[in-house]
Amino acid sequence: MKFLFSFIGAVLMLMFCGCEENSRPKLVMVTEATFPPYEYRAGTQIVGIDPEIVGKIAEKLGYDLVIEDMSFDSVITAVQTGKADIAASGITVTDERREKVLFTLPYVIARQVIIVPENSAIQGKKDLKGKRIGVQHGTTGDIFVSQNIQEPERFSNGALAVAALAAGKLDVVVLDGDPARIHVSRRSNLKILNEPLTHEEYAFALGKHNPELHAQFNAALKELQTAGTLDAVRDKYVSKMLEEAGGNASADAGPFGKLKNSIDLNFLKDARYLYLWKGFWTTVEISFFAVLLGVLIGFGIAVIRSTADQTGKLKILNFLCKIYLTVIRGTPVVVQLLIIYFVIFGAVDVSKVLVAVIAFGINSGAYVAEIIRSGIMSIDRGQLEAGRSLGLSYWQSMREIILPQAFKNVLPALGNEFIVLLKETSISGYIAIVDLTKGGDIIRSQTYDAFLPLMAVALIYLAVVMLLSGLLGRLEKRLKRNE
Amino acid sequence: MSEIVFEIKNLVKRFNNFTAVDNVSATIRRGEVVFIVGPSGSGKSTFLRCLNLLETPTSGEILFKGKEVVHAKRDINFFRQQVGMVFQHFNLFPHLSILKNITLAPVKTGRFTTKQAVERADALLDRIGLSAKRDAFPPQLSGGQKQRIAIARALAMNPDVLLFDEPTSALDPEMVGEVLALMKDLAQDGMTMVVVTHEIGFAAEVANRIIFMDHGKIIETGTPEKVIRNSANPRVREFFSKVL
Repeated sequence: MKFLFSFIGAVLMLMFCGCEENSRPKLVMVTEATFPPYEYRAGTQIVGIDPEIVGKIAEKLGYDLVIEDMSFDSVITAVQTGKADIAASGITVTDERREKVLFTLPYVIARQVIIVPENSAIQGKKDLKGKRIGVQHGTTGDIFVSQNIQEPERFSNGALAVAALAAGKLDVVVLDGDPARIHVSRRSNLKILNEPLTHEEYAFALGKHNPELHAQFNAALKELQTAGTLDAVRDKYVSKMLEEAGGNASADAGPFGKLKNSIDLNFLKDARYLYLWKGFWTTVEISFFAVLLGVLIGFGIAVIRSTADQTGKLKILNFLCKIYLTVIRGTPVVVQLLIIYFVIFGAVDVSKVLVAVIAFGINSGAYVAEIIRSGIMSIDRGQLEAGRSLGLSYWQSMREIILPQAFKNVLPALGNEFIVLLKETSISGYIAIVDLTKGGDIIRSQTYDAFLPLMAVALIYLAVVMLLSGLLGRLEKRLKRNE
Repeated sequence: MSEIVFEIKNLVKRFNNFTAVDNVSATIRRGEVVFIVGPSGSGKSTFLRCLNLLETPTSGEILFKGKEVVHAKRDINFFRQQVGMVFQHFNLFPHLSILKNITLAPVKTGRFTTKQAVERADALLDRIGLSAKRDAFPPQLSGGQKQRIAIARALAMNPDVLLFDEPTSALDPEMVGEVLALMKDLAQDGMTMVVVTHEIGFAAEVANRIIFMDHGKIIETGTPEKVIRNSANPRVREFFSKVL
């Protein structure tokens, strides 16, 4: 146990010290990099219209730009809580958002357009009522459709919504004009209606506590606009995306050729398999340390709870443990993750992987605690009496006699909990960690192909879980050898 | 007369509204072999379990070698190291080898070094004729073998007194003999023993003294000859006429 503690300690230290020294101040920009051509991943970098414009402004103002990738739902919260300095994620100016953040001058006037199948009878806005409408969650399309038409079906990114439309699961998708053009150019059976659903202004968002930076930003933005830089940047990315999309569509071949092209596009081009590879290791890292933390917490709480049950001591600790169990088991792990990231570590600059380890560890600890407690309860009372009658203390009896037997009895249930935990880490993307699932998401956002990246992600999880089950099975057999 | 090991004064043990041990006083001296007999539910097991504080007495005093132990919270582990206990259901540790079962407590309590504990364990195993089982695990043993190991485990702490709580009740009849033989052997060696049992014939043969309990009280105490054969108390006479 002591070894475990110091080992975890050492790793946490490493995580904390990952940041490097630099003389220029940092400007932290948050974005969801799944929104080409505004922001997307190329290789290991996040590029697009927003990063480039903010980069130019940061340069003018003398900052080093640091870009963080997180879910679009979270970028406003991030600047509001001071986790980041600026949110640049194709954000539309709305009154509700104005209440929370300071918007810069608009840098783009964007259209929300309607995508329909080639043979659709839908002509425009007036035909949308009662249809199955897909949108990207939290975007202007989502807000406009919800307020003016009906409840839409919300997808975590545009590519998924378009894939659902192409598969006949939707009648129409409402998306931002530029990405919509690219999506449609990659599929032969979709078109964009001429009449846009609505116009909107894109602007960058800064925290309300930061009016000086806001003023500086606006001044710099004005200069760029006068110099024609804003339009040039936008044209550059839009035409680049259109070119690439055209290139992919022209590659025509038989079914095997198609699969090969698809594999090339999704995994080989720009070394995209690296998203899966790195994401896989992040998933393994988070799961491994979260399991260790969960087992430590779980053992501690199980021992406190069963001691309280059996001896009537430790009443206050037992009460605290009960609150912990109720709260953790009574709320979804994704909510816990977001609370720990935005509220508890809101004002602290901590490694996100560490936050995930803590969140998943604390979550898993509650389940491990009850599993181990049931194991302790399953041990015959005579075992404790025998230990105590020989003069061993309560804790000695627990450690030498009860816990080893309890552990053996609950190993199958514990193994199951570890497998659940491994798969639960797939929500790490909510706080902008690129784990295995998020790695697959990034590939999808770049290639507009849902099938292969999702299959690859599923197969990797499956392989890891099978390996884990196999190892646990062998451990179980070894422990059973003496019976 | 030899040194007093246990002196019990006005011991009461109550569970909710049920009084299991009702104002019992008794004295156990070094080298004595005392058998506690009586009908089921008479409180003899509870009384025995109070002696090493597996049950906390409701009131009364227990003096061990002259020292009060009921309220000696801090010294309870040291006190128990000197009082061995053998259980009806053996309570061996199934996840540990026979050798580890015997050496765990002597080593962990610091009573012996690992080397001493292993030597003592080997000597005890030799004495009870189970050296071959040294590296086996409890689930591989017969009931009689398990109980002999449990006795060896208690002896390994070198206790002043051994308490037996119905040591043969959970055994198949053909295994009772080997356990009783070992207990008799210990008694003849001068071990101080307090035994709760239903084996009246064995009690008559081995005991120095018999304590007869009923409804939580000691009704009669004396030599086996006096209590079993010639009791003046009709309740005691009735009991033995039924079991013998």
